[in-house]
Amino acid sequence: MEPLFAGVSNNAHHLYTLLSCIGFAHKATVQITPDGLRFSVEEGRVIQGLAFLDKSLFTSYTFNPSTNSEPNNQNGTSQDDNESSQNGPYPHFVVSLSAILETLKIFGINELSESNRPRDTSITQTGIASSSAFNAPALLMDRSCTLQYAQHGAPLSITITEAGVKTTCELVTYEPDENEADIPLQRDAIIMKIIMRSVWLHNAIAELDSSTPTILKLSACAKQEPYFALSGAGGPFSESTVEFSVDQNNEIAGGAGHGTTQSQMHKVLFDDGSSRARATRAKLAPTVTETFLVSPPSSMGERIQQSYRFALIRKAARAMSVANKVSIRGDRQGVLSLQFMVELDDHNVPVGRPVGAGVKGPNGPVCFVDFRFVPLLDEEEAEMVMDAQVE
Amino acid sequence: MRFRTQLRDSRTFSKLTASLSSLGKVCWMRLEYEVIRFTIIPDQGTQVWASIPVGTIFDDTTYELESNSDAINIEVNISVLNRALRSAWGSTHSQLRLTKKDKTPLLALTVLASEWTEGNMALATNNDEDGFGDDTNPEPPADTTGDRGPRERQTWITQEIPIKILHESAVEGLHEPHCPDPEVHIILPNLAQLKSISDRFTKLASTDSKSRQPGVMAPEAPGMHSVSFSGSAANTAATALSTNSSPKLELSANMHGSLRLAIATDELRIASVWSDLVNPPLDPAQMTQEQMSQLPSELNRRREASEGFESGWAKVRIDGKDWSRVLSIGRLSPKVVACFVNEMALVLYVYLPGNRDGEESCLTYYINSFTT
Repeated sequence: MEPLFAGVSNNAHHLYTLLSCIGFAHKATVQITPDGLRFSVEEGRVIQGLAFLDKSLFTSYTFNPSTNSEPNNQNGTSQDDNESSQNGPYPHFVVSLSAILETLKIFGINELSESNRPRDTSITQTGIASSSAFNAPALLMDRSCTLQYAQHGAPLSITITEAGVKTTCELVTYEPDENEADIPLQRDAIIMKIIMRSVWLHNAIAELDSSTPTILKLSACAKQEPYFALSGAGGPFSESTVEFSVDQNNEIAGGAGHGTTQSQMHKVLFDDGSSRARATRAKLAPTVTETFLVSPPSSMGERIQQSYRFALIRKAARAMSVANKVSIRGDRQGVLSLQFMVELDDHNVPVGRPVGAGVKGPNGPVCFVDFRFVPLLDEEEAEMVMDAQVE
Repeated sequence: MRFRTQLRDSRTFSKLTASLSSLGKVCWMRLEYEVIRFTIIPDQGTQVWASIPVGTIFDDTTYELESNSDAINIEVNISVLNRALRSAWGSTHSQLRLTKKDKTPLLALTVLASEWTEGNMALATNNDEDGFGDDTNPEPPADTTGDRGPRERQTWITQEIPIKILHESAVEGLHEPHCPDPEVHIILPNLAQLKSISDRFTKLASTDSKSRQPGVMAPEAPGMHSVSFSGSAANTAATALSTNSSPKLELSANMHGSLRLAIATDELRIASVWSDLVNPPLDPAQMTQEQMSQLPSELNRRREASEGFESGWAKVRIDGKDWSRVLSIGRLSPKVVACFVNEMALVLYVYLPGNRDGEESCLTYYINSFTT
């Protein structure tokens, strides 16, 4: 019988990179769609991570839904925003994400990098993306990785074939919790959208993390300084703030010249000796932002201020380190969406490799990983500060 | 009683002791005229019986052995011996001898270390550079006076390893385990690859049970109530003793070149299959054709494919962590023949490379199979 779904990838590295971004939870809900596989993880209904394995990552991708009679309009949005509905007609189930990640590692992609995943500690942009020159790329040549889901209720099987060894992992699939729903982001009530290079967000969060805060405060305003600031509060030390402000002296090019601004940014963040301990004033800019739209409704005043649990934001650190760009969005209710654009690099593959269907141009495929965070209400925030002080 | 020899290959000796020390601390070392035997019998886990020709690790022209019983039996802490041998790496001249100090028997390892000095060093006693300051005892003290220009300096380092001498009667009762004839014998694939996959499996099974959160699972989850792997291990507590219920790997093979490594938990079943491995022929010099044809492994070999691919497999269940320690012998890049006695034991014959004169260094590992 023809399986419901089968996908063959010759680069399990890509699958691993994307899935490891949301590796903070043990279990993931998987949905199979005609456009790819959607992996969703959540914790306590306050954080949700979504990774979309686009079918372009697979050299062959076959999906034969038995009940695909009704047309649906998910095609456009799912690729764009991972926005497809969880309870659609497509098969979905729960599997062990940690087991998938561990299995993909058998592919030999991760032997030289970390043995454990130091997601939370990696401050520099190391991560899986920066593959070393010593990764033996030739070894990747005759390998393949097949994902298969035979029918509803069957295990999800991952088959990895490499020189002389064939490894098959059959993951028990569980029925998803019917009550499970995505954290709603009101797309028609987006009041903030900031796009910048992900490494800056990562550095800022890593910087704040050094004072072990419990709360991340986000502040954004289009009219006056600070235009965009992130603060860590509630920790045993004083509050520290990273501001992304407009640079008056230099050219205000609004996102031009990434190469140069990046090095300057590093300087601002880490150069002056006090930056470790206390508030860091970043003089350069939403020069770092490519898009900076802040338009709160008049009832909220001019400034958007929201608080989030820092420990949750920290779970996105792996994605921050791997991703190229991040889109930071907030809706009227304060739900924060971090959408990461991950440019999967192919530079560990020898030049002249017969490129598969998944390779779009020289830079490799582009994929998206989404995080959603529910804001802290004022009372919760006060409570957490109290707790922290008691400790 | 007298034993004294130069080391021929301290690197191999050191790697060998390192691999042995992962299985147990107490090692019975038996020095004979032709071979050196190392035996480790831990309270639980894998036994190893190694027989190394003198010439593999020692220089047989300087090998001196005198004993009334034609052998010296020593009990030594193998990891202490291994640490001592590390200082002999790359040394041109190292000697091992049996000696005595205040009535305590010792193995004394004396190493001549050469190093290049920049000169102008007032004191040249760098002997504890290797971290064994307490044991060091420069034999002829290094010549520190005289010219202080850059030169090669030689340092004598002596490390003393406390041992026990075992009387012949103490070791009389120790015999190699006797196993039934194996159903399957097969040459294992690259041990490094086998080890990394085995370790990954062990990790998969242990992270699985560790990170399991009952709340996360859907209540109607299928397969949730099936007997778990760790649960079944608890049933065999008598066999397992205190093996802290680490995951058990299922290793099986047939006489048609296939080896299968598998593990199962509540959440997943994973298996790696190697094919086109070699089932080595038996040595016809050891037994008659008729005897040989009656062996279960040869019967299995003759089974035709018509009986199905699944026929003729022999299976053992082994402790993942113990297996990983056994596979550490891979650093000596040996050839390993695995003999499967179905559901009972796995015996590994590990042949070290680089034999001279056709003498074979062989380490034999006896691994018990856990019952389900």
